[in-house]
Amino acid sequence: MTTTESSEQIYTGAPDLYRKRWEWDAVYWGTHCVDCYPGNCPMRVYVKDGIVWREEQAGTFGTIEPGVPDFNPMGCQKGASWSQSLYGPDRLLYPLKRVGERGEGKWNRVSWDDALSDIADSMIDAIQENGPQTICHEGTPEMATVAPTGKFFSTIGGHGLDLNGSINDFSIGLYETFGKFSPVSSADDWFNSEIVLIWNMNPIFTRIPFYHFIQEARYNGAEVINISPDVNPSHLHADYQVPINGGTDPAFGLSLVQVMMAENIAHWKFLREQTDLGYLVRLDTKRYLRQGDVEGKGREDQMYQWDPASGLKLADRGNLFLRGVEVAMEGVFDVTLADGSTVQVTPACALLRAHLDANFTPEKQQAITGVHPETIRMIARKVAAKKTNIMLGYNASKFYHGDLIERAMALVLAASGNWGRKGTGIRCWAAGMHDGQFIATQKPGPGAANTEIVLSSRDAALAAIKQTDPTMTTEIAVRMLGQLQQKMQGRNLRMGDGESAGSGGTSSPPAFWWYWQAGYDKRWNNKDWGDDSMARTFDEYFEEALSKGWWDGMDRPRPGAEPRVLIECGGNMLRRTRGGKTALLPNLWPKLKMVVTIDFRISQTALYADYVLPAAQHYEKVGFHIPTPHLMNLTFSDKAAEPAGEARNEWDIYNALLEKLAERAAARGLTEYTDTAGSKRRYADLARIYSMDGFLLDEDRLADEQIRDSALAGTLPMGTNLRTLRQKGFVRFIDWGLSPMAVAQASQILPNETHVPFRDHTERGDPFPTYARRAQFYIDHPWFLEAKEELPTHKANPKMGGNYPLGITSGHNRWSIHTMNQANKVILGTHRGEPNVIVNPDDAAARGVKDDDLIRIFNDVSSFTSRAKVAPNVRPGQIISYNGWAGFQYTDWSGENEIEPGMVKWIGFAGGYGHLQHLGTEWQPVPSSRWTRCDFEKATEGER
Amino acid sequence: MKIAKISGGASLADPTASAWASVESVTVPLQPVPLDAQPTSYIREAWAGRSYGKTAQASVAAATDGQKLYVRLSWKDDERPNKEFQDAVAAVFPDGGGALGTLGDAEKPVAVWFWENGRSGGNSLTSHGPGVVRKDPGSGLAAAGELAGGSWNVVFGGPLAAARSGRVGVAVWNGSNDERGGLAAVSRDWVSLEQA
Amino acid sequence: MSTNGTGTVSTGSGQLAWVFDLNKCIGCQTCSVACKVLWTRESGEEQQWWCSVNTQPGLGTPKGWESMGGGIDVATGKPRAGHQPTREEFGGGWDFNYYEVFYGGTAGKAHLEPQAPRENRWAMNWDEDQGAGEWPNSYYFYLPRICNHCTNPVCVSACPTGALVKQEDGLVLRDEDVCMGDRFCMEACPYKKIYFNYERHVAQQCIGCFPRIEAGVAPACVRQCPGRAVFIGRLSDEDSPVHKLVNEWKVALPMHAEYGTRPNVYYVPPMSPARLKEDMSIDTENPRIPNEYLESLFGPDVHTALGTLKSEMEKVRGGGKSEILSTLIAYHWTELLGPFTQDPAELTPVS
Repeated sequence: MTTTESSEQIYTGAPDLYRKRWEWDAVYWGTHCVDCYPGNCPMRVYVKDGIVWREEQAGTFGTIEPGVPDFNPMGCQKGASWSQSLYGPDRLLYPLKRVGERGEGKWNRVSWDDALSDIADSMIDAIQENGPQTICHEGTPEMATVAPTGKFFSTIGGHGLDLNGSINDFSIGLYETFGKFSPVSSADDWFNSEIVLIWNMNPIFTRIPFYHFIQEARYNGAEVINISPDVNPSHLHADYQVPINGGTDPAFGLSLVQVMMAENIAHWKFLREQTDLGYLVRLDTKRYLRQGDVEGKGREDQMYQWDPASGLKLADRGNLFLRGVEVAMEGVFDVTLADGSTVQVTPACALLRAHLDANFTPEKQQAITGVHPETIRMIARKVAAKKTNIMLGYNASKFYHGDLIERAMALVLAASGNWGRKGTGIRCWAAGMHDGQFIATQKPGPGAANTEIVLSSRDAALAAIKQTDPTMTTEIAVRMLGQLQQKMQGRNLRMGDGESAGSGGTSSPPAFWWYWQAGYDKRWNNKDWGDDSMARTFDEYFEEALSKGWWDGMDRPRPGAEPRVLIECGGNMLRRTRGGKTALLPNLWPKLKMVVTIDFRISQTALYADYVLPAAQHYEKVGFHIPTPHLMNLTFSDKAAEPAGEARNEWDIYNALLEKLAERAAARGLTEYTDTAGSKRRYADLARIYSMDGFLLDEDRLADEQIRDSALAGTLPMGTNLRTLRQKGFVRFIDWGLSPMAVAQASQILPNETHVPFRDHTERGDPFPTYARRAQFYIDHPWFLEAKEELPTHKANPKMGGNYPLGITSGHNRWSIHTMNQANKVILGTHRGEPNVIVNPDDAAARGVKDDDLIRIFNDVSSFTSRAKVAPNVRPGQIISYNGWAGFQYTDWSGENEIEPGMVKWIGFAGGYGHLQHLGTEWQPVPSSRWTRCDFEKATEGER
Repeated sequence: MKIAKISGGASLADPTASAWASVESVTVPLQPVPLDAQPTSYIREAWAGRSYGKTAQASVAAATDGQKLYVRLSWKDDERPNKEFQDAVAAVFPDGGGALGTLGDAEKPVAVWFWENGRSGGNSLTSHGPGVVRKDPGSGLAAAGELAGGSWNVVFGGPLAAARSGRVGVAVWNGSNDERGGLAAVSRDWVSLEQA
Repeated sequence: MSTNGTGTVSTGSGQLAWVFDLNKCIGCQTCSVACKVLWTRESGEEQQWWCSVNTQPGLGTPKGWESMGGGIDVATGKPRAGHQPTREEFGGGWDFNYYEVFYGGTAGKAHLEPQAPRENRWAMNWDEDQGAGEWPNSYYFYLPRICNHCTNPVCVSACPTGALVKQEDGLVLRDEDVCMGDRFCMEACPYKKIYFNYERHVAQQCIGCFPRIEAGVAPACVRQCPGRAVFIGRLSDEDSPVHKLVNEWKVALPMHAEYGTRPNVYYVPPMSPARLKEDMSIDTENPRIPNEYLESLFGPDVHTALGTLKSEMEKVRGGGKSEILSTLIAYHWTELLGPFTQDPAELTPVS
């Protein structure tokens, strides 16, 4: 071994035993290509005798921006023990066939051939009975499976569910405001902040590789404020811990804005320019004053501002800059309409201020949130004066009124001028940039010439869209292109979006699947659990949304075409779905003639499958992590070892299944079938189309092609290929490419600077992709007016689950990426080795419960049992069940999600209004779970 | 004490073997290894107020099949087992000329055949004082113990050459009292070993 | 009697020391896991966590270790009696019923759980995030611990067989061929950071990653800490952050110095958020973690250390510069690694 020090010293008596433990014979690059987001930790995987022995963070990032700490050594305890799962007891090694009842846990090891034959037969039955769209899958963010699964389903014309709608990693309120929900700074930009508001996030659990930037910002002079109902672990290194009543964050945020406006420390220029608050609203209808109102013709989405010098002014849809005009933010003005009548109008800001002054003064908010008025004033003044970054996770969006929380947060940033420059903004998620990953699998054939065909047709399509409206930016055109393509069933041409480009066939928001196929219609119509501010029943809104065509083409699968075959590849539907098996097993499962799980480990869903097929784990195949602006690098994961047992990579599995499908169809005398788009598909051609004549089955060749295609698409430096990536392990992106979430960053990638989104909005005046073309705080969609949510406001949590005294909250846990690491014995040793629910000592004492007692948590929906962890960090009235325990870690394999009714906020079905339109991963109804009502009691010990 | 000569490969290695019934045994009184002889200040401080080495007596028997020397040690142990420390016993030989009461010293060691409940086989050690031991590799020492009726019976089977000094001593560790190292009860005097 | 120590070794000399910045530690256990996967995953080592992280206040690992005695009486210089932690007090190392759950045909009747008695169950991180106080002023923080590689290692002096050796660069290492498993070291160590291997019948503890040190690679707990919270270096090296933080600026303190063993692991004490008054307004005068509690861990110097940190923070917030805080930021990750900056992946593999 190399030695680096000159001074010689023998460690006397130190055993060679340990020197021998630190030996290896090969090193590979690796990362964990699962939905650990942001993930992307470059690791070195050490191999001994063909077996992955251990891994360690690479620690080889250079400095990006001088004066800003580097990214090393990204990693966490899960990543540092991934190898221990590779050969662990939950690892799948052979195809398994269910032999008892579903969920009985009785299996036979079968051959690949037998398993694939049986599955192929079920697929042919489904296709013959009701078409290929009855073969379904739920999307997965596990990068290694996205492309092969997507390609498989587009090849057969099957149906996919939009994963983001299932797991609700959708910042709905940010989307309502910005027309996109993906503002993401690079994590090192957190260092540039002066105020960090950790608000509905727990980065000490969920951002282990990046948390240091927050504390380093603090050492650099920043103040950190943690806002949470419980004294969560992220309070640790904060300057202030602000205890807030659960889900009352809108009132808190709106009060901050009330103070900024009342004390006149708000950033008025920023508000005028960046937001719609200077748009005029008719006092009679509460709707925007539109071009049609005034001129009798014109664009429906053309609004007005009031120029104090010259009066009515058409708002510029093509650029945010006001060029010296101080549009009115207050006042009531008379406007003569096209029909000659006069109407009073006022800037939306005036309505907002009246709303805030009436309801959200610091004193009034205290009654709602429990936060002291002086705390509000202190924070408002700091935020207004300093570069502020809101650390937002996916907690807010999982409250029923999570959109209101996020709209209030966005308003706080708007009022304080806190986006589009370093150290500011709000953290969400975005993926993209590795456009070649999808170009390579969807182009007509291998080679650069085919890539050019795809790129030029994409460019031509964008140019054509822009011609329809010259005010359109590339960002807006990309979104429109995506929406248009999505409506073209069976021909998903959209490139580059990691979430849905490959979903193929048809794809849909899962809300419709739940409603029609899984029994959620009853839950969502339960008034006791629902939103008491609803003017009409849930079904009335649902029917209106469908009858108005807001979801045409996406309202699938419809009741007439029940799903027949479910293939979960890298997914875990029974665990992740709110309602879990309580809803899915009695309602959905009986419709499924075949349930297949393809995975490298046993999951909750696998336990209820008919077949379980073993896949290669991340260290056993060539792949990439989900690229993210957080890190701005493509991170490579190499094949460090052969797949264990009979495991195979997903491309191989699907290809073999399609070959078997052709064989079994031929045996039945079947040659072709018709897909939902009316096209014929020939059984015998499927495998060849799928694999591009075998091209996609060569891992190295495919990866090389993907990297080269990204270089051709301009997102990676020219000359980047598999060989260069094998040397360095990662490569920094140089451009965004054309996936919607990446383009939505609206900011240039600079080689030696941190990334901050929205600079194009603040520095160039690029419009936002909203209906109003500005950050939109006034939404005059009829449903929003009916809900009195045209402006950000506060509403109480509905009594989801029934009228019970406690609220259960959650959040990603510290110990596992979802359930991925829950059976890892090393990780199990870092906690109590089983799930628990954290309860306040007073609540525990009132129920005769002690630490580690078995408790039963119950509500109207269902119940589950767990161990109690009694801790004063949780407030009275709140209990916490961190998310990501596997169902099979609980009694009867029933976990926390069983008591969550899976309520979706009805307003999520709205459409027909600019950006309120679905695009994969975005605008759609999403389930909520936070502060589900429940209670608990001591359960009988010894129950199993 | 005579080393009984047993021929025909009787199972002397088994402490409960009937062959031992006919072998003469000698009961010897035991006493604690002195505190001030304990090798480290930690042990002397920590055990200053604790009693140890209270096993009062043990009996010794020796036999040979012509190939190996078998030493059988028995003592009464009616206390409950400790989860951390195990009962143990040693046959001590004055090979290096060391004193029995301190299990040797820095200059003059003693040889020790050591057995501990729960660990397979025996350990051949050189002891330079209470607990100051070194393992002797490749000694070919076997040992087996059996607790029956409140008494331990342990048999060592080792090289016949061990008997050349003509003396053997006994040390007993009571695991339930956390005894280990030099915290033992040791026989006051050597017991003579006479070739039969 | 050692059977080894024959490798080509170069480590330099001068006491090695670690500094854990508790304001950067997030309790993620990456150090613990990195250490475990590297060193203690053999049979017999299930319960061993040479590096562990606990929530303070708490009973930690082994359970209640701060009440187990050991160490050296500073006044008399004599070692103090200590308790040898038991298997139950360490806890963990469980088996799980994987096969029964996954393949046993129980239809949910069996779920994955530790196969261990419920009574007195404990584990390395059992009381994670429980802490103390009452909501909304409940408080806690994380405390990573390894062997302190003490300057006055009472484990070394307690061992009758001489199995433990204080090396020239200060690491305390054990010759497992000499160790007789008597466990006086475990009693004597006041930090209770020595484990017993009931299969091999030897005690084991943190080896300071000496094979890595020999190759110029920082220990796993340092190099793998994603929080960038751990520094290593030589106290005698005046340019080392470790020297500066400990000796010059005195913001890194030994824990339980009263244990008398002169540990070489130092801690930057935790600053904590402001308390809340009865009316829920912010009490800027009082930190959430009681100063008395921190004093009980880090001694009376903790007030000075916290005062220094506070005034440096104020300085920076006022636009000034702070060498102390810049050091703690560690703009370049390698600043944490001391002289051990070799990338292990670049070493020549052993084949």
